[in-house]
Amino acid sequence: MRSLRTTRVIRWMSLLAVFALVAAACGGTTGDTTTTAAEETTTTEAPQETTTTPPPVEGDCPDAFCVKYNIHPDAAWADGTPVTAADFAFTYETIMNDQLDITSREGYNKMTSYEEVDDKTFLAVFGELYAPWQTLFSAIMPKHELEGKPFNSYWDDLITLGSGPFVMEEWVKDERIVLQRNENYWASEVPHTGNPLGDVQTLNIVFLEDSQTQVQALRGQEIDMFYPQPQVSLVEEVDAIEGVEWEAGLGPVWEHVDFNHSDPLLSQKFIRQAIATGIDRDAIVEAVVRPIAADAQPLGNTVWLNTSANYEDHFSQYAYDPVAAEAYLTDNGCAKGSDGIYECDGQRLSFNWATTAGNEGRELQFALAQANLAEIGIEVNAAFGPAAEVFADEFIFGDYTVWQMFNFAWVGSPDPSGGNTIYYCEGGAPSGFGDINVTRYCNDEMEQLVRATDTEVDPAARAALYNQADAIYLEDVATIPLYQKPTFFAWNAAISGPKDNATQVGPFWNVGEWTGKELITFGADQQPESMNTFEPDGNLFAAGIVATAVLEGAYTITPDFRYVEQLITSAEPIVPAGG
Amino acid sequence: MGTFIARRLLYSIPVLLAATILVFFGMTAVTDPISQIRLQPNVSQQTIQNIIDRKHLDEPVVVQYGFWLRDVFFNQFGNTALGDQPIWPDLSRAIGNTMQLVFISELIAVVLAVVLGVFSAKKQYSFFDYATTTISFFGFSVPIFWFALILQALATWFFLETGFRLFYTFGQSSFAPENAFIDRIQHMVLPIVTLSYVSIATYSRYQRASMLEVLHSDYVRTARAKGVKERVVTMKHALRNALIPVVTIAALSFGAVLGGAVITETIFAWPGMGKFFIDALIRGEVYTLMAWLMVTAVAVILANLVADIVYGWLDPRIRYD
Repeated sequence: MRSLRTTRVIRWMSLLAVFALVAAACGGTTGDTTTTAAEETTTTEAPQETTTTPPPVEGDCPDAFCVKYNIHPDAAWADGTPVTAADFAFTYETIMNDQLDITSREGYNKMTSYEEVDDKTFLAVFGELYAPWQTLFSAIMPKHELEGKPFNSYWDDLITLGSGPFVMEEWVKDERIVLQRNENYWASEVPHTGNPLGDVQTLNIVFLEDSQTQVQALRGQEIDMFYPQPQVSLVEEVDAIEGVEWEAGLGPVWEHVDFNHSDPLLSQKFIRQAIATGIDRDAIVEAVVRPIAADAQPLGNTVWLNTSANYEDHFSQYAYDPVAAEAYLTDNGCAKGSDGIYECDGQRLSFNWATTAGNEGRELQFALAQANLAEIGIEVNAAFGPAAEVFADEFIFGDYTVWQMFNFAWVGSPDPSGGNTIYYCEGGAPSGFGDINVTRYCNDEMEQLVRATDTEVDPAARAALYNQADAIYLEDVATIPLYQKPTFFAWNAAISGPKDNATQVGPFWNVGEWTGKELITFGADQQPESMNTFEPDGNLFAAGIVATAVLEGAYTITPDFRYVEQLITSAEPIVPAGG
Repeated sequence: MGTFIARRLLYSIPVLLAATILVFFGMTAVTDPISQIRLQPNVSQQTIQNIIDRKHLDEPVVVQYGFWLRDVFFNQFGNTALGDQPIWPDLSRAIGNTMQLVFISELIAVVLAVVLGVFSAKKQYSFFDYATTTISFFGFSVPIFWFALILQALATWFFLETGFRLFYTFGQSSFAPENAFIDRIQHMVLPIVTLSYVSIATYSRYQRASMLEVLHSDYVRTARAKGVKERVVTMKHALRNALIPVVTIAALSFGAVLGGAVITETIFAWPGMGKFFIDALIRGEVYTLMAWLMVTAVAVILANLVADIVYGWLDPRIRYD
């Protein structure tokens, strides 16, 4: 007779093993893997947003500000039904329905009413001037298709109707998303580029996460294109594949190192100045970004990125200068300890540096900064954690006992208004500061300038306000801006038309004009959870590119960061006569 | 036997409850279900509040545990936090996809490992034994991701050289294949070879060691002395007992692999439990991760139960009382 006690022990051990496996995997979770790569045939895009925002005119407006959308007379849904003002109104009503899980209502919540002037004219009425009005109505919903349907679930698996150059045919879960050419497409040319329509009939979007698998699949012609997080080795490998073209862009995502201003030491400006001046940001860009985007420069502005026409470098005063960095410390009475690390008021200048674990670019830039700072007598220690941990409320909104310096990236957009709450002192953040103000830095003058941008509808004046605010922010070394992150797009050379769009619109921005292959297989990194991009779980890349091909908005964004008309012929911002 | 199984299933209930406590309190201690959305610029506070209300995130953790437990047992693990999507359809699909790989690869691995192990033991210190040992050690030493990448590279090289697609390097199926069955086989071969190879290396070593021990035991010597044919001695008297350690290790592996051959599934983009876990982790879907953990725990418990049952079949001296 043999006892089964041993088996029970094994069972418990195996359960523990399962949890250990999970813990290990959690520890290795991805942040957004970064950059480093080789250059070459790269055509680094340098987006220069030209100001296309029309200035407001005086006219008939029942409140403080209006925008009149003139819908394209031919614009129609894939079923032939015309796109009308009722669809714009339905889109607004849906987004503002607080029973629905809409990710962002920003801007729409400034509207006080609307008017369907006629079938093809929609008037959005605002209670105050709203400068970033071009960011609104970026995707219009078909009223006749969605009205009366449960929006929280109806588009989860299939965008049943759109107005774009492709229609969504099916989503075979775990395998593919299939888009077919919209045979009833309303435009005779791609509306936002003016180019003729292409001949691609089918887009087959498959899911493969591992970057090596993606490269192998591209080499073996199992996929025709992909849009990975660029890394040195990956770019080099892609470059070596015959019959493949690639392009790198610089997008609206910017990397930075935040200071936690609740820290007794880091709240002192001279210490922040010493750290900023002590880090060789150009060396970081050289190691992490330039191998992909040869023209990349250290970032000197947290609002307008290097490639913006409005860019002004507000951080040049803190260019790498180790002698000046030490002078900030010695001039303020700090003295080096026996271990070579400065002490100020008896406190050692030693800080933890948080970032996402497993991100080779961030680990490299930490190593470079650590070495730089060690030379000037400041110690930084790695405090890396999985993305799920460091972006949890308790961590990122924590005070200096949780983190002191934090390297991560903000995802911006061509219009910077989305990031305004980074600069605000009060908001919905668990820390009590602005919604996403994780630094706890406050400056009334700067905040007023940023808040004024919401209601400054003159583009030049608005850009100037942002620059004034940013100059204060960076002169005060509220954060250390590092660089604009590159994007990377590679495709089978048999296809003509692909061009990287580093904005949130993504690589399908001009898919309607692609030619050369009837069937294109696109390798996306991850299967989305939902196709409904208005909802929080529909924000994955694959859902985004589908929405770009299937849905259209009043405006879309071009690779050079311009808002261009898509479903409309024009839009007119209006202020009341004499207002 | 029925009583034994029933009793074992009853014993599993407290184990599962303990697992729920570990899973829930462990996960809630290190993650935040809404951190992914909160950091999106201009996210609607109303939407965040809707999620908080739906998931009772403003209640004490113990109360949240109660709601989650109710979802686990009566609502098929409930819904995701961010999108309010039912978890079970995706999870059950992942289980099915993993089962396809695991069953076939484990079957191949066990059969081949037993054959190799038995022959190695019978031909101890022969060329065959040394060759098997070398190949097994290679299997132990080679990182699974490297082996998988090599297989992918070979498949791609073969296609580029010949223009003939023998095996696919990722996914489950092609777009509009001519023959869906053959297409599926072409997609399954590389991940199955990857999973099987490491298992064969492990199991065959256990089988060889176990077989050697049994072949030198008194009862086998007695059987030989009684004039029983060597083939019968090996297959009937020795092998049956020598299988028990392999059954143990195979059952444990089966349970663990069912939880996801994370590396293999990620590299071959096979949408099974491993990839399901990684995807949920990246999306920060805490409730999906907890569901995965629970399914994995159940799989390990069931695999152990199956192992115990097989012990009794292999060795009647083991009594189910």
